[in-house]
Amino acid sequence: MIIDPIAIIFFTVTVSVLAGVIFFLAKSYAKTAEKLHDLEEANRKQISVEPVKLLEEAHHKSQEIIDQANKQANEILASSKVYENNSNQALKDKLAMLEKQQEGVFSKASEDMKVAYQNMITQIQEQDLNTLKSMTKDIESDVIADFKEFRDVLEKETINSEKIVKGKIDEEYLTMQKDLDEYKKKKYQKVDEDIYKILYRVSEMVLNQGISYDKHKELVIEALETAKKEQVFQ
Amino acid sequence: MNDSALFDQILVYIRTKADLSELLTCIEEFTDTFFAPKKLEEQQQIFRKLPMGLSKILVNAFASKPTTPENQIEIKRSIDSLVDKLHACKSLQLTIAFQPNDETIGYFSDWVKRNVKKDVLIDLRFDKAIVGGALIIADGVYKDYSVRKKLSNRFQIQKEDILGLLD
Repeated sequence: MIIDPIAIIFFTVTVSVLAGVIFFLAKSYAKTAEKLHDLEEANRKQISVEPVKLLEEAHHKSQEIIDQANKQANEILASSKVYENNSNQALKDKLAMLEKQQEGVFSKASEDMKVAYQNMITQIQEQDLNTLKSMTKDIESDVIADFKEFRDVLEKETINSEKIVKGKIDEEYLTMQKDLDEYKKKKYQKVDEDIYKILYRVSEMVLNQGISYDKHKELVIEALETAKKEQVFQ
Repeated sequence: MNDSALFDQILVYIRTKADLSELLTCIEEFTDTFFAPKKLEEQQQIFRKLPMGLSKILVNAFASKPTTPENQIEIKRSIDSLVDKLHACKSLQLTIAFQPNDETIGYFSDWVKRNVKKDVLIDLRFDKAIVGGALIIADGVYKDYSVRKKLSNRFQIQKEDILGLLD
C-alpha cells in the first residue's frame, strides 16, 4: 500500500503539536508542583510556627492554586480542542482529497493491472495456443506416421490377401468352368440322346402306320425265310 | 382209317396252338359222353363246333355210329392215340405286329408246314411294338426279325449321321 507523504507530514505535525501541548501541560504541572512544593516548604515553616493557621492558610492557598491550575488547564484543553477540531476538519478534507487521489491512483493502478492482466492472459493464451498448435502438429505428425505405417501394412496385407483370394477364385473358376463344361457336355449328350430316342420313336410310329397289310404279311414271310436260312428250325 | 392217316387229315385243319386247344377241348367233351351216354346226334354236335372240314373228319372217325360198349374201347384207343400225336406236335412261337385274318393265318401255317415240318403249329402272338416283321422262338431259339430291330440297328449304325443332322 502506498501512503501519501502529505498525510505522513500532516500526521507528523499533528503528533508534534499534541506532543508540544502535552509537553507544555507537563511543564506547567511541574512548575505548579514546584510552587506547591515551595509552598509546602513555607507552610512547613509556618506550621512549625502556627500549625493550624498555617495549615488552613496553606490549604486555602493550595486550593486556589489548584483551582487556578485547573482553570488554566481547562483553557489549554479548550484551545487544544478547537485546534483539534480544526485539525480534524483539515485532516478530513485532506483525507477526502487523499481518498480521491487514492481512488484515482487505484483506478489507474487497477486499469494498468487490468491491461497487464489482459496482456498476460493474451500472452498465456498465445503461448497455450502455440503449445496446443505444436502439440496438435506433433499429434498430427504422429498420427500421420502411424496411419502411414498402418496403411502400408494394411496395403501389404490387402495385396497378399487379394493375391490369395484371386488365386482361390481363379482355381474355383477353373474348377467351375470344368464342371460346367462337363455338365454342358452331359446335357448336350442327354439332349442328343433324347432327340435321338424321339426320332427313333417317331420313325417307329411312322413305319407302323405306313406298313400295309400285305407288306406286313410279306415281312413275316421274309422273317420266316431268314430263320430258315439261319437254320433256326431243326 | 388208320390213326396216322387220320392224324394227317386233321393236321391240315390245325394251324395254330389255339386251333389245337379248341380241338382237344372238343375231343375231351366227346370222351366225357362215354360215362354219361348221349344220343349220337348230340355227340356229333360236339364236333360241329369245329371248322366244317375238321368236323366231318372227326364225325366220320368217331361219331358215325352210336357208341356201344363193344366199340367204345376201340374209339377210345383211337382218340388217345390221336391226342398223344397232337400233344407231340411242335410249336413255333410267332409274334407279329398286326392282327391277321383267317386267310393270313392259313398262309403262314402253310408256309411253316411246307418249309419246316407238317406237324409244327404256330403259337401266334400280337405285339404292335415290333412295328413289323416277326419274333420267332423255335426249339428254344429266339430270333428277332422285327422292323423295330432293323430300325434300331439302322439308327445304331447311322447314329453319328443322325446326330449330325441335329447340329
